[in-house]
Amino acid sequence: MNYWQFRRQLYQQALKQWLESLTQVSTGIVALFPMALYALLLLPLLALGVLADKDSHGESFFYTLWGYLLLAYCWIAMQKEALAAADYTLYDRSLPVPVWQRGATELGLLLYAANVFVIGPAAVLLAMVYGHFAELISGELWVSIMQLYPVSGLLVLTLYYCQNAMGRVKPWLSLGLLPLVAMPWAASMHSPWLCLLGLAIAILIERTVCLPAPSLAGLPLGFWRLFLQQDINHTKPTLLRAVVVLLVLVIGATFVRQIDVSAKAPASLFLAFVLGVVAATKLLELQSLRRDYQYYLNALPISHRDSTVQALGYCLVYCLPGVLLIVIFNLLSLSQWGLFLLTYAATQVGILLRPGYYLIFPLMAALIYLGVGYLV
Amino acid sequence: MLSFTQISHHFGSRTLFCELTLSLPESRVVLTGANGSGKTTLLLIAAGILTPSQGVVSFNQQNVADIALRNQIGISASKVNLPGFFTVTDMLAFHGRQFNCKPDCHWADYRWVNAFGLTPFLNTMVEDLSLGNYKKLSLILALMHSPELLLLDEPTNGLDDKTRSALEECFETYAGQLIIASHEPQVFASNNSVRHLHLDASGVHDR
Repeated sequence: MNYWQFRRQLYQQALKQWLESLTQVSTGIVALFPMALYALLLLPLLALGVLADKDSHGESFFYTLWGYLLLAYCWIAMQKEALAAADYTLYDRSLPVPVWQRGATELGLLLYAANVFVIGPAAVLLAMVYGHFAELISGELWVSIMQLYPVSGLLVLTLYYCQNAMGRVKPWLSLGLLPLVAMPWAASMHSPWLCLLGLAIAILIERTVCLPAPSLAGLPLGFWRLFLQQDINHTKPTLLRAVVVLLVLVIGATFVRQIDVSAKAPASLFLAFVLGVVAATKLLELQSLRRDYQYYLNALPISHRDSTVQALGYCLVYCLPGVLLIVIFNLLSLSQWGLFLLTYAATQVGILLRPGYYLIFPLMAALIYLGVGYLV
Repeated sequence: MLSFTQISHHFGSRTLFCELTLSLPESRVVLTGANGSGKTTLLLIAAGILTPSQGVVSFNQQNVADIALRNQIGISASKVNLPGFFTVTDMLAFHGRQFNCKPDCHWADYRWVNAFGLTPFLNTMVEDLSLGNYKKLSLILALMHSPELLLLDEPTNGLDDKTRSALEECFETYAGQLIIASHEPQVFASNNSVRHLHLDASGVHDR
């Protein structure tokens, strides 16, 4: 077995365990929406139609690009430990493998893991280069550049964010703050140029300006400290949750705004339901933390009921930035906010009462809500 | 006094204890037994943090499952997993606040931190501590609120000589009831008023 095969086997082994745990977590979702996973895989391909077209409207290019890059970043960030063979780092470092071979293997593994996002733009770019070959050799370079720049930009950015997801620099500006701030002006963007240029500048800034480390001074000292410090030290679940909320909102902004008025309300209701479930499932993380340290926490002079109340309170405060994001996207009407809150509450009741089947609770609540709405 | 009444406990199909009834009025008790005989499980049940399949454990006539009794019980056992994402200082501060027993001094000057030589590791993450230092931290947390019942599982495992001496000194002067599960026969070797119990498949026996 050579070094490449060894690392690929470690990656696949870690991926297998990760997929098993993911299947357990997502069993409910897959049972409810059997096409959800296939649809997720098809999203990058669907997005290519918008992203490869230089005549795409700025607003749809803006939201689609944001969603595509968020999804690519999130996909690799979730597999980071598996790709880096984190469980076997010390052994791996003890192997007498040349630096170039290690680097090439890691790059190969990264491309292997990111193929869903990289192959599409790469194939489209190759096809377009082939199609514009005559213009390229005849000297009409500017015409070719104008045709090829959106998909070339997409490919470069996808590769950058896949590589970035393996490192320490978080795309807090380019995939977070900048698109959020630029949202009100998205409709007035008439060309993909502006989006690509804005992203490039934001990347440059976030690579040079380091975010200050979160200070622990002034943070709550009671039971919440346990949850808070877990979130500060293990940022990955929080990051993934933020990305999922952003993705749902971006997909919502792209599709809900473009569909027929009569279909808008049901689509927004579905969006409110999904966001309510995603926000409430933070409680699953807290319950898992409490399970991991159950003996120590049981030894504390705080009852199970009190610690559950504390977890629910923490969950509520934790979700407030997400709620703010939903407000900023302005996708939900008053009745849809009602469904969001009901779904949130029902999901948490489900997690507390029947953690294995918790999704049944929000589903029942949503059906009752829709039934009552229909009767009224 | 610690009392076990009709305690039964199973792990899957395996029975660890079957209707165990035991009173421990002695202030010093040592539990011995082979690996897997149930020493740690018995300590967890005694601390009220593991609910037995059947039966009641009481300390001074109060059920140990009662939350109000947590302030009177301290436990150090490898199964009591500590949050690895805290630094040692954060862990001590969190624990001190929960039990309302935070000392007035800085943690570096705290009696048990000094005695156990944990000062250089105050800023270390709990998950990065060595086995010995993790044990020291676990012991300090158990001792911090001066409980009336102290339950220690293999307390000397992985400890250096200096810490062992400090711990033995603590054992000698400790005012409350002290129950130790250990493989080492020299624990309390010089003390004649210690009750020695042995756990095996047939139950708990005096030695």
